[in-house]
Amino acid sequence: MKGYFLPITSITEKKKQHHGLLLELPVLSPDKMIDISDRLIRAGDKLAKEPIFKILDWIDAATQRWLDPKDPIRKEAESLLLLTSGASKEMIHFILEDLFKNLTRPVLIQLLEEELGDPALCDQFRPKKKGLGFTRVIGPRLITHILPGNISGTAVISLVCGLLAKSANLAKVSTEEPLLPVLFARSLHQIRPELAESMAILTWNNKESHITRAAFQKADLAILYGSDETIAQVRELIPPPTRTLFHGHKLSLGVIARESIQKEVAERAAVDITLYDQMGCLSPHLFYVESLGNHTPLEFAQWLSQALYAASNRLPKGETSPVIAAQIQQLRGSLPLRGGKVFSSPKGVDWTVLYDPDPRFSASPLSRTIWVKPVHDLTEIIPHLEPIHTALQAIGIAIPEDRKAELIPAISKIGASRICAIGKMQTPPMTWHHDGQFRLFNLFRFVDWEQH
Amino acid sequence: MRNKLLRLIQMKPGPASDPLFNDLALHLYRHQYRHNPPYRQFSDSRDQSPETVKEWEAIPAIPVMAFKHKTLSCRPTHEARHLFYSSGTTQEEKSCHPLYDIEISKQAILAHFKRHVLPESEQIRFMILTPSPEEAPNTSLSHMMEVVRKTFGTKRSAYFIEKGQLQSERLIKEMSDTNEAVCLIGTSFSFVHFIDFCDQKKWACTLPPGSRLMDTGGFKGSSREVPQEWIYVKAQQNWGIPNENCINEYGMTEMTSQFYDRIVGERAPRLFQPPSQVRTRVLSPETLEPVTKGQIGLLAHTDLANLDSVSSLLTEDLGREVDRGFVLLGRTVGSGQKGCSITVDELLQRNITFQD
Repeated sequence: MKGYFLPITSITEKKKQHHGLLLELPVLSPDKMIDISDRLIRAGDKLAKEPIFKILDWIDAATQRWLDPKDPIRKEAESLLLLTSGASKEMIHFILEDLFKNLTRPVLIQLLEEELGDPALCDQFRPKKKGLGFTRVIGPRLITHILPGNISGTAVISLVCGLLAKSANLAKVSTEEPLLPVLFARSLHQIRPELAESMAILTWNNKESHITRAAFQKADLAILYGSDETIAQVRELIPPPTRTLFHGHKLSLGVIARESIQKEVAERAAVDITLYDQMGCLSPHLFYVESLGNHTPLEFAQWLSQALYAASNRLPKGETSPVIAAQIQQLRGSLPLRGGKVFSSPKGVDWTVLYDPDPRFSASPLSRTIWVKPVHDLTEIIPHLEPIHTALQAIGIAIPEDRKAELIPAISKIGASRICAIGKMQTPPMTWHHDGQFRLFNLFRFVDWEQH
Repeated sequence: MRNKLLRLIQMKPGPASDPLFNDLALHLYRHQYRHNPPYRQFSDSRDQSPETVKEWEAIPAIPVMAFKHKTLSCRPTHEARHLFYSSGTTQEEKSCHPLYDIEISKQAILAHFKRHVLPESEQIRFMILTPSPEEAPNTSLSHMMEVVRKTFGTKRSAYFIEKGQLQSERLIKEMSDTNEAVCLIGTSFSFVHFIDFCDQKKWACTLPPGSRLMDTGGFKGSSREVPQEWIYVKAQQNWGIPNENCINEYGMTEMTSQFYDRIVGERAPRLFQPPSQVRTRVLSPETLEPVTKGQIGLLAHTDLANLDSVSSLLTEDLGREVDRGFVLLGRTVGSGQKGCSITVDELLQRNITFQD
């Protein structure tokens, strides 16, 4: 099957074995990339003439098919992703449900209203709320996306935002996990070919920088997801006038007040750890738990281990890379020697709770491995977050109402972009400012028309 | 026991040494369980003790990360002749491995080095791309270099890293002038720097026949990752050292013994053959049970030369067993995030080894 999406032109293919699937992949060159960009821009010009509500309807029509477990598109995706993603069947089911319930018409309208105020700004000039004259938004002619390589919905959401901006979208997806965005684009193509023709989902090796450079040549906007190293390498290849939005790797953690040390909170924390097998930027690495309450942080760790056990039956873990398993084994074996306590899954490295009296922040190898660290008082954690403040994404909290004022202003200041209840860490609303940024607003250029 | 161990070190690796190895390993385990409290704690946590362990394979292998948390020693550390530290930016990130028995360490280093790097001669001129032991007294690699230099080095052998700086000009000069065969020896990282320097200067030479190269360590802390073979190709092109005279060493601060991936002059496929005092097992990263031969897993080494610390070690290195040894696939330190982790394919392309 095709491991890429390119309906507007034909291209030479090479075949690659990918987790038991024979994928056809595109053979790209800088010239070909320029040609693809030109064709996408022409298709995008047609798209730009369509009203935003029509585009919403088309996306919604695709979404409804993805939300129907009996639909062939959805069924094909579930079976292919089971082969290629390494995630369990149950997890893939959750991921697809969670992604597409955020891409329905009402949710996308909410997003447009939240970020633009008036969705009609996408179609025409509207009177400015304050001051004189009119304004509207125009999306980039071509957006080039460098998308993350996992099955989280990030890649698909980035493409949908590009469509809402009425832009042509050229996306590079990871060779390791190209399928979800490709299958999504194919579903759009079935519903509305003109819409999908403004998209190309391609994959090439990161080392082929001449191709990456060509992919940016015609773009008005570049959107980059990836590690610091990837971003550092790729940003060199973007022409200076091209606007760029960066999404680096982030991490999350949770905070539990002494009054909130309860079994139910541990169960909710286990959900946050379990979903996406802890690989997302919203997955907690660590829980700070306040001591001197009726229950101890160690009790919390124990409850958490029971909850992780239960969760692993409901939502089995996918494959664990040997690299990560190796790190987990090192931690499991050595932490007790510095005064910690380890709670391990009865088999393999399904889950691990690392209870560590040292309150300094520790990053987890992930894959359902969680640090639990006691602190005497919640205010103590702020200095521990200082070294990682640029990487902070979400902070899950279980804190009584009357104590929230102690902590939330301090957390907000240090770097997080989301504070939410424990148990909800993995399911942010579409209107969340991902990475502290707008999802849509920043894609647009505003044009003001002063009539006087 | 020491004498038996010295005898074992001198033996050729092979089945003949098996019963002796097993006896010594169990004996050492009893000794280390009794005199090394953190190791005893670890062993108890795995429900193992000298009463339950009947074969060397059952001796609990301690994760090397434990060397960062505790000094794993059977003797008071003030009696140590050397305290070796791994690299790391803070004290907590450094492993500490004390060395008490200089003679055992020396014999372990020399016997296996001789077999692989100097199989046909007694002396060679070393050009050493590491700091001297005076400059780096807490680095096990510099200690090893000094043991080797003192025993096998001709009098003009010298170190070429001074105050942290590779002395590339001096190295070029000495390589140009030498009439005797040379053994270039040092970290892979230093070789990459030196090769870059030579390329920039467009300098090349042909070293006298019999010259050889031994590199060790990977590219930790560097964004530059090159395949091991690249160094050897360059060594042939730039200095006239044939591939069969290029050897990769694999060792670590937490081990007293080392591994080499070939014998100088032989063209056999590269693999690490443990010396007679070491056994290497490949374990499932998930269950820590041995994997089927040929499968990728975590390397666990039992190094009997680790007399006074812990002999059974679980490393962070992935590898797979092959006939007569193992192939090293990479070090698993680093980010655990999906997208950044090493894939099996990438691992097979890399052949990176480390010694701090």
